[in-house]
Amino acid sequence: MTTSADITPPEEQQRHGAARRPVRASRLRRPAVLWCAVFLGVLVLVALAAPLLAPYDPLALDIKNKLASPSVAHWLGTDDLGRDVLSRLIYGARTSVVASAEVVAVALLLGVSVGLLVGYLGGLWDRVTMQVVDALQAVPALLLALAMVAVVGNGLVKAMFAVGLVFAVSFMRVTRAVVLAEREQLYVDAARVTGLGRAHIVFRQILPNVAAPLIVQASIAAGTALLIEASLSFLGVGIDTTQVSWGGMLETARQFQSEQPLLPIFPGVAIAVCVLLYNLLGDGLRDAVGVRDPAAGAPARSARTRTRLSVVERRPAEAAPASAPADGTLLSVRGLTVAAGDTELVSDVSFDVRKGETFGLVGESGCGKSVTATAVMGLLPGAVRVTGGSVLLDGRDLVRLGERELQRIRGERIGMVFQDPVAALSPSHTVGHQLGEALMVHKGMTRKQAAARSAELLSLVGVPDARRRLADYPHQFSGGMAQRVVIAAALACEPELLIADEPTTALDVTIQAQVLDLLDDLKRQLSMSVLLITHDLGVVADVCDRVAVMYAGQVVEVGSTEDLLLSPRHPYSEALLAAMPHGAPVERLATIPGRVPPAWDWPSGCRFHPRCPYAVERCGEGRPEIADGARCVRAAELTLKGVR
Amino acid sequence: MNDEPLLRVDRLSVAYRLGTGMLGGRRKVAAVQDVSFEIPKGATFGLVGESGSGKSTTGRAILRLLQPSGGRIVFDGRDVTAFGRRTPLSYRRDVQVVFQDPLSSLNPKQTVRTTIGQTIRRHRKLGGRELRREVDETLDMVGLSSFHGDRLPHELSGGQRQRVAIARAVAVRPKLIVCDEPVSALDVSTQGQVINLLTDLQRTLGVSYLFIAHDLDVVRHVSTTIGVMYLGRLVETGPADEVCTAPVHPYTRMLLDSALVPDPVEQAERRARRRALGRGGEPPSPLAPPPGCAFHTRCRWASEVCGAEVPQMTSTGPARRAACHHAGDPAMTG
Repeated sequence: MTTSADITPPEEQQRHGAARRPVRASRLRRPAVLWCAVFLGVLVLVALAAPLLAPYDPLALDIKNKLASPSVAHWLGTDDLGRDVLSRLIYGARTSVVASAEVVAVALLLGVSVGLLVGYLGGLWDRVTMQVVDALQAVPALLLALAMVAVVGNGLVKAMFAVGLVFAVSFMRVTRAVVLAEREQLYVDAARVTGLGRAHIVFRQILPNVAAPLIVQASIAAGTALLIEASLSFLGVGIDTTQVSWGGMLETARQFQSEQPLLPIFPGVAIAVCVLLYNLLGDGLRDAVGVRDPAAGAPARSARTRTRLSVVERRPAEAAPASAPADGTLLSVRGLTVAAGDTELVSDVSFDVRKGETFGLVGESGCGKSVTATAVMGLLPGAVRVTGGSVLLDGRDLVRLGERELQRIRGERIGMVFQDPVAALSPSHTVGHQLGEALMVHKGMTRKQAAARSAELLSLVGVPDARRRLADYPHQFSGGMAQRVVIAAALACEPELLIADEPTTALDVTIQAQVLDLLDDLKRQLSMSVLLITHDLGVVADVCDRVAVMYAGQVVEVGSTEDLLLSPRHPYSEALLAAMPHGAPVERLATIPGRVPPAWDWPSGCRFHPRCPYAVERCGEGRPEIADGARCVRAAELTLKGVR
Repeated sequence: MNDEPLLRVDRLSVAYRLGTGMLGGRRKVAAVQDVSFEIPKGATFGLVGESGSGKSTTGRAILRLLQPSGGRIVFDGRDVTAFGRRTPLSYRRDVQVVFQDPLSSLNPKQTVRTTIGQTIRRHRKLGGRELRREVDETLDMVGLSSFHGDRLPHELSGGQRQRVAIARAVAVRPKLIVCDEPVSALDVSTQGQVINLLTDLQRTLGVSYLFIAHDLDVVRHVSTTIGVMYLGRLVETGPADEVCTAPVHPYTRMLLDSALVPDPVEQAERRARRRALGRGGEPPSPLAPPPGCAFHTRCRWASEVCGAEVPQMTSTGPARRAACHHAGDPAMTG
């Protein structure tokens, strides 16, 4: 029963897995993090092996040799009682490590368990605990440790326990925050539905997600704990006389530094270096685990390309194979090639948008349609560059323009509408402010004129009660209305070209229909052109005059909407049409075997040939050009089925 | 013969609490009201509606992720609403879920094998080797290979992830799977593959589906019976084909006319119909639904009674029901 069309061969899978996994590992291997870890490892080893490493007993007195300078016998000299400084430093490491470990252990144990509990239970438990915690956090750790010592008597363990208690608060906050976020994730619901118990969900499903931020927190807490231990010892309240502490050494050194100026240097340096190392390790770890896993796929990949890319120098856009655009053409994209490093994202894309028409750019995710649109607008992210071709707006090549000129063109001649209307509007300004700003900047209007024009625009896009709604913030608009506002903003400067990237994908069906009607009406009313990017052939059928189908970074077919949908000429167009369920149900939906290959793995020859039912041997060779509207070497011999 | 349906939802209501007011008063909003339908064994009930219609809330109530505020859910002869705080393990085995976004419905830190394995082990005590074989078999059922078991979710494609989510659901051989928008996050070509997989599994396992989606074309394709929801209420139910070809409720008509088809000729007709029906207006806020029929603010045929009385579901034909004061009115069908 393997219907499994999107099975990828194991080799390919392995390769992808291998390519992705080292991202995190390699970040952990960055020198800073590595060195910190190594040094701290050495510190722990020294602490453990103190009796073996120390040349003398750290408490052995040798009054005759007091305050000696470094010598062969005493490498770092001796203190006021003739005790060996090196040995004391080594034993002091032991105290520091124990103190840090205790604080982190107490904080982890207490903080994580309480955080998990209240985070998952929520409600009253959560509220009461948070009140207590807020009160606790107002108390400085050092102060609480001092109070603890005053109440229960001297001792490192007791003092550090108090410090751990205070630190537990921040551990608890981190844990609770992660639990609150994860608890809403669907996978937790899914686990509940499968009957997994509460304990399993908390410990096996949620806890691993807390691990990363906690490691960072622990590393920094360890450093601070060391510092607090040193401070307490310096004040003489932390440790008793049988223990050696760097803080205590510093206190002794303070008294005798006029006689032996080298004395404070060694414990001082030890404390400073160790705290620094803990903090650097924490910072490094934070960067390494900074990418949250669910999204790890995408950002990690882009991060990788970015680093690889910065080496590639910018190639000037090659001269386009300029066939002069036909009359009545507003936007002419010629041989546009966009690459991220040596990976071509879009190859040799050409199409024309005529004056007053709606041109559709359609394809599945990963086909390069959005990259093409962003390239046309000159808004490609840093690492992605146009490496060839041209984008001619009324004969002017946008690819060669500087950022300032582009900005002016974007404001005045091209309007843009994006998929998510709420994200496209600033949440902290009124709609009237956002519309008016553009008008004042680009059209030089006064505030009053701009307000009047804004109201006009809002009623133009069908927002009822426009004048009053100018004072509203974006969140006060429904999704459909917010998209109308975005369209109004795009129209503010009466653009000749409106680029709409999936303008209706985030909207409900009935609202989608309204927004498409609006776009169509506006196009006629304002006689502008629309470049509409969509994945939905239904949207194409509804509003587009002509359409280009993209697959794997190329335009595979271009033509009038009717021709393309009723009698497609490229097998991919046919397959896409067949895969859409519509009308009376059929026994099985047609599917396209396999999946869209990633940009770094485009097949040779026709990029669709591995998935194409009509592929013959020659399809895997050469580089098929678009001929008569279709990029298919067999276009002439095939009779493909349209939507009817 | 036992013709008791597998699932019977009877006047189900779910209310959400909207925070606590300043004086401790609690505002409640009805997300689902008086929803009734049945799912026979081995059949698919499609629940269609736009955002805020309460279709997902209905699914979550059936999954016992939410406590209903009224009505009954009877599954396999047992009253689910009477379970109390703990859900019996047998119910957890019988009713499974596939969510819309497979990336967030799979634990990012767990391999596919762990995810599926822990579900199986919760319900059947299996040893290491047996468990491994069982997971492999489940993976095979959804068209994945054994090596996919060692992958983490982000290492799979969208379609593969959704297959894993389906595998987790079928691993314990449930009787009902709630599919909450299972294909709307997928590309067209992958959508078809997942829909085909779901229908194949239904044939081999005899499982029933509650198929929740906003896309009427997709729902029509997989469902035997359809229910259309608007602002928390069921407005029309009936056999999938009949509802889609001869809708009774004006909202169903609006949905149908708004759905886009890739056929330029048919789409031009739909477009003309849609324009003739007028703009359709804004959907009211679910927090403050209009009185009477919730749809009357957008309905071309609304009369006085529509704004005053809530229409009840009444029979409009064999196996068909609709909640509209003007159902069967000749003016409306014209």
